[in-house]
Amino acid sequence: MERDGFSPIPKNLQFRVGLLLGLAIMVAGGFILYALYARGTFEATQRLTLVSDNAEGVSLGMDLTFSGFPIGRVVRISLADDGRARIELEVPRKDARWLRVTSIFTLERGIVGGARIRAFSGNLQDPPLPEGAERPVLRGDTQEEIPRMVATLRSTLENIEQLTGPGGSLQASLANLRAATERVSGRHGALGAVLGNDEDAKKVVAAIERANALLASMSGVVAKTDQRVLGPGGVVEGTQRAVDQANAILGELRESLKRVDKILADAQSVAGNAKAATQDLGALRAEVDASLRKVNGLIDEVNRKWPFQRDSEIRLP
Amino acid sequence: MALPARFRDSLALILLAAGCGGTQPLEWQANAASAMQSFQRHYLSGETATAEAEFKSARTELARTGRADLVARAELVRCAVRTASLEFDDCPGFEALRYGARAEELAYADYLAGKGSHRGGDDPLSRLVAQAVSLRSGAITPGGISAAVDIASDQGWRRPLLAWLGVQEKRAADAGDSETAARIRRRIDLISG
Amino acid sequence: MSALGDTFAWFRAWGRAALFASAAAAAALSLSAYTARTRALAMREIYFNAWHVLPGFTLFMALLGFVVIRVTIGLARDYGLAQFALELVFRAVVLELIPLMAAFYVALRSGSAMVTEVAMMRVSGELDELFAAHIDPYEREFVPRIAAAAISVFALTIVSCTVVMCVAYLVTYGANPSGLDEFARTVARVFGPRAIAGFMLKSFLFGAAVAVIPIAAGLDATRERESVSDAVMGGMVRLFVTLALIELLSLVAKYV
Repeated sequence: MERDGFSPIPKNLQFRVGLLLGLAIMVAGGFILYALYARGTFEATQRLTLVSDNAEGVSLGMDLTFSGFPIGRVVRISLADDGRARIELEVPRKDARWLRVTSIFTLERGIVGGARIRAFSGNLQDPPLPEGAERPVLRGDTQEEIPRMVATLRSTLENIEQLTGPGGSLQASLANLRAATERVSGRHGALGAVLGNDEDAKKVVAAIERANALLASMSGVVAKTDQRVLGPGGVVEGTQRAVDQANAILGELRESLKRVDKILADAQSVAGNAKAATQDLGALRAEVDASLRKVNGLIDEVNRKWPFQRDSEIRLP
Repeated sequence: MALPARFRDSLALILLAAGCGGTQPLEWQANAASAMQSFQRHYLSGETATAEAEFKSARTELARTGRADLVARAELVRCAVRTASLEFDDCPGFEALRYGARAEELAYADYLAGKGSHRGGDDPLSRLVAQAVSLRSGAITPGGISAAVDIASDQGWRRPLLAWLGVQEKRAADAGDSETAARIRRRIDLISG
Repeated sequence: MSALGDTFAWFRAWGRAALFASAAAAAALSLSAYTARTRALAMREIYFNAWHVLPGFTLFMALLGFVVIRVTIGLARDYGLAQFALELVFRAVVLELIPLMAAFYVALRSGSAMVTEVAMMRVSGELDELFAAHIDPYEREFVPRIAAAAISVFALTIVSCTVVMCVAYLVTYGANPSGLDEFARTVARVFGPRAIAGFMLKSFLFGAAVAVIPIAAGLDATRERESVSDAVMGGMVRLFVTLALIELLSLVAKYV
């Protein structure tokens, strides 16, 4: 039996319900498609595998960031045969141009929060990262550093304890310092502390007293020397006079050197003239002959007195 | 017999030492002394032009002072050098300054003329001058001629050497010893290039 | 004694609801349930449950979503966790809050009515007549209602979710499209295939529960009139508990 009539059924009920259903389905379909698009199902992607010895903190769907922008997503984390973790990422092709063969990948984990996978490309002119590339990822885990830091701190504290402990070197140094200060406050004071015992200190004091006496006697000597050297007629004055004389001599020497210079200059000028003259030996001979002719009479007189004898007169040189 | 040397040295000493001993040597003194020495050197070596130039400059320097005795002494030195080279004349330069010459200079002038006597030094020029004076006065010996030749040859003084060799050559030629004369002439040729 | 008896009765009611659910499922799977009449009934139910309320509900959800999102993002920004705000909004509001709200709304609106309707059918003896006439009421009456309820809940949920997501984008990034990439990234991170499948399943379960429990409660009624109110009360309580349970289960499945 049908039940109708509680409320009037509109004529276009079917249409409206159909519309509603259609709207719902369309919206649902659109939503699903958008979700798929957002997940990059419609994008061409390339695969990148990062190999690390520890994939702690990495979760599926985590982003691979480049310069702060996410360009890839972790799609799979697995354990390889050699015990290392393989993190497989998918990078849309339009973003894959930021990754090069020389790109470096890091996995950082701070104290709070999950891990971060970052990519760095030093040279964007290098060839692009190929499809399916496998790269090692550099790990930086602050949480691992903390135990190490704690261990270092602990060992440092232990060292300090040892130093300041009862048998430690600090105590020993303090004991030494105490002994030294006691000696300083002793009879000979700082001297005793430096030398360590009293006898040496006494010797040093005696030596100082002798030195003082010597200085006193020397001061008289110094006074006399002062007089001898610096006083009137003293060494200094004599030296001063000698210096003055030397200066005078130097001055004369300078003048004579100037004269020598002049002589040399003259000689040069004369030599210039003489060069032509020296070669004129023919003229010289002619002159000598001429003068000899004038002397002929005298030679004749000599001839008269002294006849020519070859051997005695002409001596071979 | 080395008055020329003494003259020369004393001239130099007068020129230089007069200035020394507390005061600066005077410029004319130094210049004249060096010029005279240069003159002697060049003249005896046969570089006549240079020697004449040097003598002229020495004479000028000495004439600056206006002291005729100094210039006369310079002329006497020249005369002596010429005498040593057997160029006998009556020293016209000195004669012009006879009025200002002192006794020493006058005596030396007479000596050069062959009339006086003079005790010179032992330096070559003095000895050469002495030989020349003795030739002028007619008292030379053949040994003296040879000695003069040797002195001139040792010193490399062309002019007097040529002159004295010429004397020997004439003597040989006059004695008829043509061979020796030829030898001497060859020597003369050697000297005069 | 009566407390124990009440507890037993309570358990028994749950047992009957479970039995009815399986029977209804079996009936839904048989083709004879899909006749013109049943389709008409379903359509009418959908019309009353969904069509009338969609605009209002969507608007209300948008408003609620707007307020919640504003508060969430503001707080997150204060704590420096702004990049997690959108994801939080998606997970909390879109995936959990809106389906639950839609289910509750439909339950409130038509659940008690359905209990009463079915209880009246029992009281008036209509069901006995149908049984006598060898007409399966499951197929004729119940499955269409269940289907209609499921579809209504689903439709309301999906439309409201989409609208709230748009509101979320507008609240986070304003009216410029520069945040689309990040928005898509957050969507991708939140709405994986598992998340979407779970979401669909939850909506469907909500929808089914919204009809199944009331109808089961209605069937609990006897021929007396007074039992109707008991049925309604029991039914509504159980409906809300069921909805809560489904939500709890889905959360456990997702995050544990």
